[in-house]
Amino acid sequence: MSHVDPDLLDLLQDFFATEVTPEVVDAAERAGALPADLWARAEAVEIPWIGIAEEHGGVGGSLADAVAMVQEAARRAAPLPLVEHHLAAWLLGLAGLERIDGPLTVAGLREEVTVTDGTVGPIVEVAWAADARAVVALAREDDRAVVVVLDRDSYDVEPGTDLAGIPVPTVVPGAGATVRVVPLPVPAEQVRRRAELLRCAQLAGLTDAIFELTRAYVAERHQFGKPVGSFQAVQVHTVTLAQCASMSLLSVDRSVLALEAGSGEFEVAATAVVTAQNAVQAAAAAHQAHGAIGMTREYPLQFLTRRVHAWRQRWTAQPAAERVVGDWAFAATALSQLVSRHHDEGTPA
Amino acid sequence: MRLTPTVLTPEERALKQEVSDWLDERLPEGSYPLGLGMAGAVDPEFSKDLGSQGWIGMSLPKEFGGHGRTAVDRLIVVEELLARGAPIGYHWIADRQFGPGIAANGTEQQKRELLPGIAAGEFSFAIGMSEPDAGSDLASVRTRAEQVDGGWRINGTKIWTTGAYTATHIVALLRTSEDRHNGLTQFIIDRHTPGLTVSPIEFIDGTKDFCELSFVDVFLPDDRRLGEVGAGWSQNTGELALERGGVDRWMTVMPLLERWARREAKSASASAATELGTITAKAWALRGMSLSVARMVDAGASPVTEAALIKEMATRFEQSCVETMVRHLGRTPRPDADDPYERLLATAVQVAPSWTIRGGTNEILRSVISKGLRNR
Repeated sequence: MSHVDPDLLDLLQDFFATEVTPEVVDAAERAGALPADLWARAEAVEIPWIGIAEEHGGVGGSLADAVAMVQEAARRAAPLPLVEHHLAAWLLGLAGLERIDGPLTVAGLREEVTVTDGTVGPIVEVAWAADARAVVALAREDDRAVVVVLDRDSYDVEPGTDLAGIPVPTVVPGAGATVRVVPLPVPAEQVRRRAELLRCAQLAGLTDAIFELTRAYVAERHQFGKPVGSFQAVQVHTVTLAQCASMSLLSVDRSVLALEAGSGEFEVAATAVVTAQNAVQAAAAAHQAHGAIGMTREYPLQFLTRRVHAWRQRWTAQPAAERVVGDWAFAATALSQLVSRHHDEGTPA
Repeated sequence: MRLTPTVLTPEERALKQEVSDWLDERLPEGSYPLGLGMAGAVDPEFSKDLGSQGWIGMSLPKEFGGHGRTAVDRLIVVEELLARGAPIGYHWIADRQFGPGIAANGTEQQKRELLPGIAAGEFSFAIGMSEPDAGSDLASVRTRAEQVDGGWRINGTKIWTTGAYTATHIVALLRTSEDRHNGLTQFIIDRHTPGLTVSPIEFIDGTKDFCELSFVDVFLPDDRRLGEVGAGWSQNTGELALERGGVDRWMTVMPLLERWARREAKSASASAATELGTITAKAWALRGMSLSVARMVDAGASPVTEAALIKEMATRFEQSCVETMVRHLGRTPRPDADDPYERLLATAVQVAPSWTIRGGTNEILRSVISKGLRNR
């Protein structure tokens, strides 16, 4: 993340550390709704609009800035639709549509949404849809990719909650509701890749936060008269965590560079594989190192580890992601050349 | 522990292409015994050819026959060699470890005498560190160098020294006083010094590169001492950092993986595709880490913790790759198979446990990493 402005990083770290305490995360989960005041405070410092071009109503900034924003939010388990809002606002801009005030959410990244007779059917698991001003969906109409916009007054929600306690209702468009359908001027894959990278950034942020929390805990917690972190058996876990965090953070940063320089197709696919596996491994290692305290709602580890499990296969099943990289390997002239490729090299023929 | 992402410059990419093209010509498939990483075959002719390309001792100063290149340049060359399972056994240790070690700690005379031969691929070095009672606990080394008129008299036994039989030189860590850490000194010993007996120890797969060194009243002039008396421990620790974070810690299995991927591509079962996908993604991620660490070295940093962190997981990754390939073979590979892939896999099954032992066991590495993490 060497190319993110340190002042921006400071602002993000300060904001999430100050505003998103474990109490705030817990209260949002118990309420089952978006904490509107927290969103308003994030809006006040323009955080949700980082990485959205000014002509599309954002505050500008690079992909790396947007990645830093969602990664820092994930470290604190911020109960805000920042990834969803970013993708929705970005899609609106791509499709040449006017800015809609946030919070926005996004759909169509996992199950395909199909436009028939100018409208769409129910869409499952749309995070934060009840509290959003609009749902922006990636969809298909006949053979073309389109962007579908459903304003809040055009749909009802059937409640649903994911494993991390985040509301993921089903969006049910009302009969005769107005739905805007606009052609998507880029391949749908490009949208999915951006979404995937942001999700990887969340997982890497979670993994690093899990590592830091565990490192601090094993240094403080004493058993047998010394810090538990001084036992080799516990060090196995902290070392695993350091490895997972280090690998995931670097892979995300390399993918940002790759996406900025070329298609980033292979790099994002590989990053999706390692960030998901590392996050899951880190969650297990952290719980083991923490012991019983980590299993309680009052201790913040669970906010992070439940998000790992909620997001590890969001939008893409892990075996499918692994398969994508496997197919790259099958197609490569040499595996060693593939894994050492420069990121602007094209796809194998 | 945040690593900084980096990519190869256009000049570095040109080097990669140049090395790759040259190796395609010099080592056509089938013309050499496929090796597993640093255990590649000992082939002095190949080492000499590689040296004449300027691809050994790359970072050594030009005035001593080196090329003044970077750690990243070396990574590029090594990566191409390891991908092919090239016969690098003769020059590997000198290139990775003792060329830089002598350049850093040697006298002017030692540099003039040894570095040009190292860079030319003519000298082969072995590491005389472990002893029967000093493995992971290296500071308990007992082989003694006793100061005598004009030099030193050596007595004792070194063990687990890979390649000593074919080496021209051995760098040994010897006890020069009772002080646990400050009583150790490095010496450069000619392989054919009177009183030094090298005996092969048969390895698990029947090979005989592993050796025991017996020193009986071996006399060494003082000009064979590498670095200050008592500086051996810290010199040695510095070398281990160089030794650990490189691509050689996850590329041992690359010649196998290449062939496995080619085989599976024909049938492309779903389980093979997902497993190959995971392996490929991890290899890509580990390569990025090694490259970042090489850049840190070039920037003058000493990424000891990072290097240990990478080695500890990369070697476990290599072992898991072997396990995956054996499962997909569907039977136990035979060491006498006609198929070179199967023969190499049979070797890998036997030698894989050594990967998490050599150069610091994973248990020791975890202590190094934990210490590094605490001090941040």
